[in-house]
Amino acid sequence: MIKTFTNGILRENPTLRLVLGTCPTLAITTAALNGVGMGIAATLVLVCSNAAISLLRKVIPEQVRIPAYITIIAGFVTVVQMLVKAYAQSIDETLGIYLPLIVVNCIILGRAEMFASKNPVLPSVLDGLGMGIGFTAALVTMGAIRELIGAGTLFGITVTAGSIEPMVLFILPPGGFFVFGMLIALANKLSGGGNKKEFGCMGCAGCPSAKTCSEANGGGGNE
Amino acid sequence: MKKNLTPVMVLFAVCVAVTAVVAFADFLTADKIEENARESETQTMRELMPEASNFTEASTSADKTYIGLDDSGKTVGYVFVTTGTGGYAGDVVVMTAIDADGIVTGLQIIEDEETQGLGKNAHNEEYREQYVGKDTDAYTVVKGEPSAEGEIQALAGATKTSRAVTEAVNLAKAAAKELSGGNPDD
Repeated sequence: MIKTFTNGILRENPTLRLVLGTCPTLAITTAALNGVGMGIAATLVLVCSNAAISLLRKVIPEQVRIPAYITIIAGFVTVVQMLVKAYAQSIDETLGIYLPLIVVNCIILGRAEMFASKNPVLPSVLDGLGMGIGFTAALVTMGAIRELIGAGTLFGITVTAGSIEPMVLFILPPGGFFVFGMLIALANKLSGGGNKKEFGCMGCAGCPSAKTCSEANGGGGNE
Repeated sequence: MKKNLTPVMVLFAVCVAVTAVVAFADFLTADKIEENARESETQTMRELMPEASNFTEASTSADKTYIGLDDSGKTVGYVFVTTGTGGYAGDVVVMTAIDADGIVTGLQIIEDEETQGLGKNAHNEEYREQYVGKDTDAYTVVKGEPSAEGEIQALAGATKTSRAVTEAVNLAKAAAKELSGGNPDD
């Protein structure tokens, strides 16, 4: 059980190892505090949707599972958004459009498909919590690095801004990709690598992009 | 037939359930959200125009117009909410305080989605100060050092944001002219 929880923090960190939810990751991490807000909101949605989908896993038929999951996830995101707008406005301002975009954050749908739909409620909740914490950790780390080098502040507190000219490039997209790549390399090193089979990859046959994928059509599968 | 009907029914049931949950959450939070919006706007107004003890609404070409009055009911100035389009990430909504002589006394950016570290720097006092106390009909944005009174130096790497804010302030100044047109000089 504990393993389910700690899985999402490093070994299968959704951002750095599973490479899910990269769009909000790159956009939000211009400051460390943004990462905290987004991480908490996403974790809340992740835990709730994993629990709900796990509870309904025997009830929802195969053919409508994607629309059903997305509806449930969208429902939770909307509720979180309303709660944030009512009781935590500053988070609403910093996250802006990325708060409602949590609906299509691949981490949420990904875990629903890969885990919650096949496991009981308690493990699913733990998985959601672990993945959420891993996501938050990755966001805060990346945000802190980009903020410190790119703006000279950390969590809004001026650290080097007064003395060293900040490298603005780091809070722009190229800097984001660069820090992201470095962190992925570091995460791979720390978790000892690992092949795709462990992530529950279904192989080319089960992959929705099989028709257009060059690897699936040209060479072998990715088992 | 049953095989095709069950998935549809389940999906329908899920949608109804989720809608109910969202509607309930809305019921619980809608009032607080509206209250928050009004409160933050009122607070910003008071900060921009501390000499006014209360505000009355008025109507001009601006999105929102408030006339600031002091205890004796005399007009202290005006507060306008205007929108500058063409910001890097869309509209920039600015609240501008203008005194009875048509001079900008302060402004706050109340809504924007500009980039942290670039366009968001328009919120900084240093940038906003440029608009204050200038005797000019309209402001323009320049990239180098300003040479005339109505020139605003653009933010580094955020010219679009600077232009959007300036557009909003100019709209506020135009709205002020509409109001003070009828007032005698104090």
